Amino acid sequence: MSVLSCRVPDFLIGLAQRQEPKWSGLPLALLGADERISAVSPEARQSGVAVQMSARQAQMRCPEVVLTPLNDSACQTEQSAFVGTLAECGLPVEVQTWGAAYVDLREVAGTARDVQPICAEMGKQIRRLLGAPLSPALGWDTGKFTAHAASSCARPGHMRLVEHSDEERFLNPLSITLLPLPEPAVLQLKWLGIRTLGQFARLPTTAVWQRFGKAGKLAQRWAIGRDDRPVNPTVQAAPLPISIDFDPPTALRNQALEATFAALHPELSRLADRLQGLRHLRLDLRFAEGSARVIDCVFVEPVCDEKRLRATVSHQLQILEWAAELETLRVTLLEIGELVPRQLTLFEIDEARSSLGELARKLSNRYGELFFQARLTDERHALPERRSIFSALSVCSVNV
Amino acid sequence: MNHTKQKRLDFTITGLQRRWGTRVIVPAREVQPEQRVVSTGFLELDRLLGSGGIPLSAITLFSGQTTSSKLTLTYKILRRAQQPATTARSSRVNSVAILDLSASSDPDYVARCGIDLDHLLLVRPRTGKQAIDILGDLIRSRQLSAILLDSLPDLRTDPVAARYFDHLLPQLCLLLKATGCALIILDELQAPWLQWLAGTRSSAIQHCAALHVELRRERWIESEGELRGYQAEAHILKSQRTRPGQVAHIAIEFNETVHARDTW
Amino acid sequence: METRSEVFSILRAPPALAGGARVRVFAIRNGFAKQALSDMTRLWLNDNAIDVQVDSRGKIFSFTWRGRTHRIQKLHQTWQVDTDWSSDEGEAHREYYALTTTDGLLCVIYKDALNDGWYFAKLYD
Repeated sequence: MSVLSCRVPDFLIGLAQRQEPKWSGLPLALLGADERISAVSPEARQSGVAVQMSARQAQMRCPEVVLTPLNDSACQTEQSAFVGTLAECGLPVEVQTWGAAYVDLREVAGTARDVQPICAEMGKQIRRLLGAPLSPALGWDTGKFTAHAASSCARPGHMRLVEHSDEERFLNPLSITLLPLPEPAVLQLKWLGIRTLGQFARLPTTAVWQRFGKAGKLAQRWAIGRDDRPVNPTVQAAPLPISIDFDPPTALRNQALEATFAALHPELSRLADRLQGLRHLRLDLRFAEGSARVIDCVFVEPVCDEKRLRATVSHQLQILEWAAELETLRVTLLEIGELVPRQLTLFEIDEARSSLGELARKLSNRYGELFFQARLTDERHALPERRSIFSALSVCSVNV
Repeated sequence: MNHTKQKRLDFTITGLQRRWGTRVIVPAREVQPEQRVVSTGFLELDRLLGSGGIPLSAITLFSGQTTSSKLTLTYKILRRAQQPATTARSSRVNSVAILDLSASSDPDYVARCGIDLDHLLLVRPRTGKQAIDILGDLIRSRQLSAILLDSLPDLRTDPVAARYFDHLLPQLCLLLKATGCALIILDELQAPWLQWLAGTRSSAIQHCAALHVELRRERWIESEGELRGYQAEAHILKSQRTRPGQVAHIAIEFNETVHARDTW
Repeated sequence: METRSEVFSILRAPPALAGGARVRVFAIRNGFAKQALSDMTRLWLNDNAIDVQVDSRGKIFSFTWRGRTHRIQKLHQTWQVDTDWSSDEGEAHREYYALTTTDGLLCVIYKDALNDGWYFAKLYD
């Protein structure tokens, strides 16, 4: 394989600063449609502002922070242009997140020497499109993870090409935070003194498997540069619109909401199975007396969580003035995207178990190691005490 | 209801919902009844209890001698408590906890009773006072649907802990009501004079428990000279929903899984 | 490693044991070993040593556990467990007895051949 990772660092912040040059160098945070921070500039990050914080929390961390709403439509346009520029070469492009994408160069180049001019040309085109402050950082390798790590290490306007033979040496000193690990797993590894990919790779495979399961084994392979994931092109046909007729016409928003989600549920399940989510949902409402209204729900990051979608659609239905009773409702999934965090997350955490583990950890801080979870090891063992084991649920336990 | 009245009603509902949100007024058929009881898994006992099971948000006391099946019965109840309510939208398994003061829980048996070990928290406190404090914290966490305190005699070996527990019982009752958790306590039967001698005689728990059931071994079930099971009587000593003094018979068969004859 | 399969391998093809070691035979008297172990509610791993009283024929008739003496009413099952010395969890050679007592206990006790001690294993509740 031959994968190029093209990444524009702080893409959304860069676009906002390009719009308002006076914000350059200032701590800047962009607010999404849900009133939470969507993007943070490096200056604000240093002051402790983080993504998903509320505006108030951000201001408490950094009183000088400049808060501005995210101009979603403008960002979408730039993102489409960015992806379009990469796709002009006719090669498969997989969008990763805002300002980041993978390009599959398998068909055109397989070695660093051949890849370099192609990468340089792509970099120049992106810089021409977005401007010098938004220069991309490029990374190339035979696998997606190492290419992503290489682009993370490269400075904007530069490229880092990693040959197959150099993969391990390159990845060894890099931080384990590059792996898509959930926070508890990272904390656990740091507590054990494992901070680099090299250290993680050198752990016994059986121990990693026991602790983290198959996902841990996969992470270990990535840590030594063995990532066999293909580049999946993100161009695909959106599903057909779903039309719901109300007979008799209804004035109840609840009914419209339930009908919408009853129709959407199978599609959302299909998207979740493919690790995809909705970016743009359109609702066309036609009322009994002939009028029509359109509701557009646009999400900064793809969403497939039904609860969140329901809250958004319910809010939109509430604030809309209904001229008469609703006769027909048409639901169109206009844009679908990859669920970036879910796609990269290796460690599935069962919420209920994790909350039990969380509870046990809090209580063990106060009372000591008195909290256990039992596991059957051999149901048929002749000795009763060897049929099961007790695992202590304490600070360092993640998956017990 | 005629069409005009229906339209007026719909219009009023729409206006209220627009002003106060969609959840301010909901048709009664959409209201999901809360789960207030947990079935014991034994039909006859459930019927006798009047409400179909042991109450959530309250204390249930099972007393009886060793080998009276009180722990097996409790494990079956914990299994039921782990199952989500039939009317709930999500299928999330609830978590339960066992405060194992005697350090004698057998995970193999617990699993054979059907309890999901992944959603079971086993606590082995070192002292009685620690057990009581942990119990309060577990209830306050609101993450558990049921907690088993196994058992009261182990708690009462420390007279200070026993007094502390009696003192805290009313507060625990209030906490349980607020959080909707069920607390099941196991007690050994002792002659009153023995309790007086040991200084552990106290009626506080009997007073605070919403349900008190005493289990008595009736007979072993034997077949062809081999022990096949066990039959016990469950005497209702105190209940808020049914007349005390009633008796239910429960039978358990030994066949490598633990189940009752009549229910499952 | 599964205890039965360890012992069966010895029975099928006795290995050449060095140093005059003896093969221990695994005897399941009536085939209900697994069942008896499964159906007991409580398992004691600590503080479970018992004193056993035997009659003139060497048969146990009562035992004392935690200060209380329990007279044996009926012995239901006996079985022997021997695990291999190379077992990861350690060697174990025990003779188990599932019994009921006159005061209504249904329990399992065992004799540990390694130290000749008697222990309370499981109790039905």
